[in-house]
Amino acid sequence: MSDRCGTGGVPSISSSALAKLGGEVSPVPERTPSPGTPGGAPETPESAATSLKQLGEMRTPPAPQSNIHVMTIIGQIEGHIVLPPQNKSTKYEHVIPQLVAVEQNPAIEGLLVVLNTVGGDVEAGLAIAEMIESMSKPSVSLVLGGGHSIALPVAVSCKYRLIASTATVTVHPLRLSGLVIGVPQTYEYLEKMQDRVIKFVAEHTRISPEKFRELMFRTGELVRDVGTVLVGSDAVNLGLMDAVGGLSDALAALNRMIEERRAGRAEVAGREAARLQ
Amino acid sequence: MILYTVLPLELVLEGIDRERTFTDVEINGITMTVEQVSANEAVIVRIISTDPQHFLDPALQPGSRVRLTPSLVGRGRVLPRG
Repeated sequence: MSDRCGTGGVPSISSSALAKLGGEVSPVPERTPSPGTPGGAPETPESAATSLKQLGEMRTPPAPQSNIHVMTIIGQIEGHIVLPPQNKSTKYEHVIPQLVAVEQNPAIEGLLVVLNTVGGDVEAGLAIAEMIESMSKPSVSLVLGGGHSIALPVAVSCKYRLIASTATVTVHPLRLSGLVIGVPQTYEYLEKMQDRVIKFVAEHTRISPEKFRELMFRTGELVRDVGTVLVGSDAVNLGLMDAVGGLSDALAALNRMIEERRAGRAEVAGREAARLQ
Repeated sequence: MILYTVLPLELVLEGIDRERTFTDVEINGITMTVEQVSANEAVIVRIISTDPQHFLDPALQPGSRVRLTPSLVGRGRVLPRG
């Protein structure tokens, strides 16, 4: 048995494993060729095992464990109702505990949120935005394609926000494409819901609530609707996003923030150690 | 629920009245809601767990497929041969 274990750390396939693979392998006697004679080995079941091993599937080398977590928010942000399967959706009941895990897991040091979203449930979107906003770990958002409607609060909830130069953000009122299920759809109610979105965006960006409301109700940009379409740099100029950029910019910003956080923590730890001495 | 989206609602909600059946199963000690797609396969709809790390597991993301293996319920009885 010691022979078997000593063949350069490569586990040999046992007879039972062979039987599982081939199905018609006669029981292998407990006899092993001496290690270190790989070439020209006689046709023993053991060499059959070796060739079987060599024919096995190709495996890509395991990727090193990353210290960032990428969260892609795509399609509709799904709320309390499971949307029909033709929708691609981001499920908030999964994303929220995932954010808890990201905050709690010591191996994860930063969060990259990639958005390409057409909107979705107001409360689910605001819930995700509030969760990301209240995280202590660095977060960077990257808007690609589109970050419309409720995606905007999610995008601005990150500590640093980037938008691709061709990406668009549609700012429009809740009233015209909103739907209330099971709640009396009064104007005041929708107004209140809308104020939550405006308040969140205004609090976390350089835009004023008045200016954001103006963008929401601007006429002439959308054919049958009021609202504004902001392309890449428009969103930056209005103060909604921090910069126009792409993947490398997002990762560079995130890594820089991670480094700063590490340095800050090291400094605090150093001061604490000095205090205790 | 208020949908705040740029997509037309009829597109988003098309087929919402279609009946879908979800069942709760326990796999490897984790309770999950699944939608059965064939006799022995189901798609995860949601994970029900209090361990946040479960939500980071790529195999447990909503939309992942799980294999359901049928097994006999009850002890059965050995029939005499011959």
